[in-house]
Order: sequence, then structure tokens, then C-alpha cells
Amino acid sequence: MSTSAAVIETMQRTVGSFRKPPRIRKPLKLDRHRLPIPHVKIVVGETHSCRLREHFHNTLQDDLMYMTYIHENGPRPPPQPVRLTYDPNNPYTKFRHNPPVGGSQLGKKPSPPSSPKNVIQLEKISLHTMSREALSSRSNLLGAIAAFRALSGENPGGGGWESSKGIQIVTGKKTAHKWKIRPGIPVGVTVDLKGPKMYEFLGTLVEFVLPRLREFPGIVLPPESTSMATPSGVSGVVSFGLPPEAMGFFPQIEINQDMYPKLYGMHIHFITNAEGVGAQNRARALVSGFQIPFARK
Amino acid sequence: MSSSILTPAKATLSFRVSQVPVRYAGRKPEASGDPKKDLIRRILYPSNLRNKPTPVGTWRPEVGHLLQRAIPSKQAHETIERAWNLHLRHTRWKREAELARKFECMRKAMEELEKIDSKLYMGANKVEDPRVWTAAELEKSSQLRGAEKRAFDWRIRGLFPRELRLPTDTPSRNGWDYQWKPLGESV
Repeated sequence: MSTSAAVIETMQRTVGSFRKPPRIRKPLKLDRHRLPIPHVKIVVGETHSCRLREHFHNTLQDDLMYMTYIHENGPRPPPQPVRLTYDPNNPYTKFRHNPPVGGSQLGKKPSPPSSPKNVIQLEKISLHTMSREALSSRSNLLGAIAAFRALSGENPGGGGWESSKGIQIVTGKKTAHKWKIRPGIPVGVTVDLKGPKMYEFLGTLVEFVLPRLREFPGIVLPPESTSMATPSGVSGVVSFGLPPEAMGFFPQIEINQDMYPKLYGMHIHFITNAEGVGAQNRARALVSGFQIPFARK
Repeated sequence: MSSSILTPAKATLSFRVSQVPVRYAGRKPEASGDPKKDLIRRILYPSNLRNKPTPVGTWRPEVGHLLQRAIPSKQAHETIERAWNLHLRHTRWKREAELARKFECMRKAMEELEKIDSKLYMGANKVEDPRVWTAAELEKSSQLRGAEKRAFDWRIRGLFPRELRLPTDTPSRNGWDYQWKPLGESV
């Protein structure tokens, strides 16, 4: 009894009293941009639990595992080789590069066998907008960059997260005279959202924007007759677009809407870890769990 | 920074290196430019002359001091970071173990079902395509009108129901509706 009382007393003493913080003896070194190099690795973490991520882990993940499960009897037979490969036993040819098969074969790739580590989840949300005014003057892209910055809150390497690239400018790749596109001309803006920021954006989209859109039936599903053996069908990506009016419904933009020269429509791509035949349907199942409506044609 | 052994005199930093070439510090705004665009340009690409703090916080003279004050002990900071990551890792392992257990139960159940009844097994193993309109669904949809038709069309197999709401931090103002009934039935 006395030992536990002594333990409690020491705990109270150590938790309650702190030493004075150590005197700063020498300043931090500066890097080539004359900014101080921190003495520890600082990564801005989360300040609160992520509501939509908790929803995914508590509710959606189990249900999706059951919904997307395909039972297979025993191990799969090895896939039929579509293209001949160089003989691995021949010393002259065994290290030669075997070019991968693409084209129409891309859509026929079977999905990996269901496993608890393979359950579908949202990897990132990609926003993209293209501005025709930017073709005449690149300063017309500034409004779009500022708007995307407000929506995503992403900075390159921001908060110590090295993987975030921030707002990226899309440049033309090929020449197309009809649309006045040349290689290298900045024409659009894109941003990738991952992690808690992605879930925040999804929550805002679902609760503020989509209910206020006029005549939004949901993401329209293509008819059954269309083939799913397309690159989009096999990649586990669900995409849809928003009109320019929708940008004004985001609270981050609504609050100072006059600051932006104009509102921009955008493409929103939900990128998941599903792959193979039927990946897009599984992605649709996942996205529907976040209160995004779908409509059949 | 590479310094050759043959030129030891140049081993120390010269004055030039610490100056970052300033490309847009002193750029004058275009006279005929849209004031909104100029403001946005100043916010997105603030001046990189490091002599006074910018509104966006790209440079403040006291940042070094504040960092050292905020994190007085390197060991404590790293311990806290490691402890938090450990906690996240353990939570993740628990979740993965639970998921694996449920998966194993489902797999065993499907194995048993296959042995017992192959027709039910095939029905259970069928992949639901959300794009599909079955003939019965089309017929029923053509007979319904209004809100019932909408509720019926929204019931898509293979997707979560539309009534699934995201959990909120606070309950709804109207409370829980105990009298709610779904409109119509699915085929």
C-alpha cells in the first residue's frame, strides 16, 4: 500500500514540475536559402482523428471485403503467354528485355486473388482543370492555381511530407493546331490529395458541394453494353466532373469568392488500389460508401 | 559543395554563394494588369528578398529561435514521434489481424458452401455489376412514378445504399427518426 502511494507521489511530482527550458547556446545553421535547418526532423502530423478515414476503417472496409470477395479453388493456373519470350536457358538471350504486352491485352489482365491485404482503399484524389485562356497568356492560370491551393492546401514538400508535390502545372505534350496546343505551353493545373487532406476534401465535396448542385443525378454509370476492358476500366479509377458553379460551393472559396477572377470547373479522379478486370466496379463500390450518388443510364 | 584539394583557399564560403539569385523580388506590377491577378501573383510567389517577413510566412527572422524554444529536447521530440508511430503501427496490426480473421472465416464458409450446394455457391460467388439493369428491374421501374421510382432506381446492386450517411461529430438537430420506412421494395 505504501509503495503504491509513493509511486503516485513521484508521478505527481514529475508530471507537475518541469525544469526551465535549456538556454539557447548557439543559433541554428542556415541552408543555402538562408532559412534555419531544424535540429530535429519535423513532420506536421494530424491534429484530430479523420472522420471519413474512421468511417472507412469501422464500416466500409469489412463490407467491401465481403462485397468484392471472389472465392477461388486452390492456386491459379499460370497465365497463357500471349507473346513469345526469349529463352531463359540460352546464355545469349537470357538477359534480353522482353517487351511487355499492352494494347487490347491491357484490359484482360485478371485481378489479383482476393486477400485481406488486398481490400480496396482510396489511395489519392486527383483534381485537374484546363483553362483555354491560359493559351493566350500564362498569367491567366494564376486564378486556377490559387483556387486549387485553397481547395487542397497542398504545398510541395509541405509540413515535412516529402511525397506531396503541391500544385502542378499541366503543359501541352503534342501540337494540335485546332486547339492551339503546343508542346511545353502551360494549359492546366492539377493537384494530388493524399491522406487526411484527401478525406477532408471528400467530406467537403459530399456535404457542401454535391447537395447544392442543381440537377446532379450522381455519377452516371455507363451502360452494361460498354466494354470494361479499357484502361480506365482496369485501373480502379472513378472520375467525374464539376461545373464552374460548383467551385463557388466549396467553403474555402465561397468565403472570398470575389478574390478569384473566375470560377473553374474541374475533373475529379478517385484513384484506388484495385487493378485488373472489374477494378472500376470495385472502385465505384468504395466511392459509393462515402455518400457519393451513382445513377444508372 | 565540392572544394578541390588543390585550391584550399576557396574552401570557405564566399559572399556570393549565400545570395540566392532574386528573379522576381523587384518586379514592378504591370500597369494594365488585373489587380486580382497581381494580388494572387504576390500571394503565390512572394518576393524572396529575405530582409522582411512576408504575409505568407516564407521568411521570418525569429524562426530559428522559435524552433529551438518549441522543441528544447531533441531526444524528447524523437521519443514522442516514435511512440506515436508505434501506437499507430499497433492499431494498424490489430485492425489487419481482425480483417484477416474475418477473411479466413468467409473463405472457410465459402469452401463449405461449395461442397454443400454448388448453385448457392455460384450465386454467392457472382460478381455484381452496378451498371446492369435486369429485365425485372426495368419492368418494375417503368411502372413506378415520382419519389418511389427514384428510390427504386437508386437501389443499385454492388454499391452501398444511398441511405448510408457519413458519421458526424454531433447528432442531427431533429434527432433519430424511429418512424422512417424505406420507400417501396427492391426487386
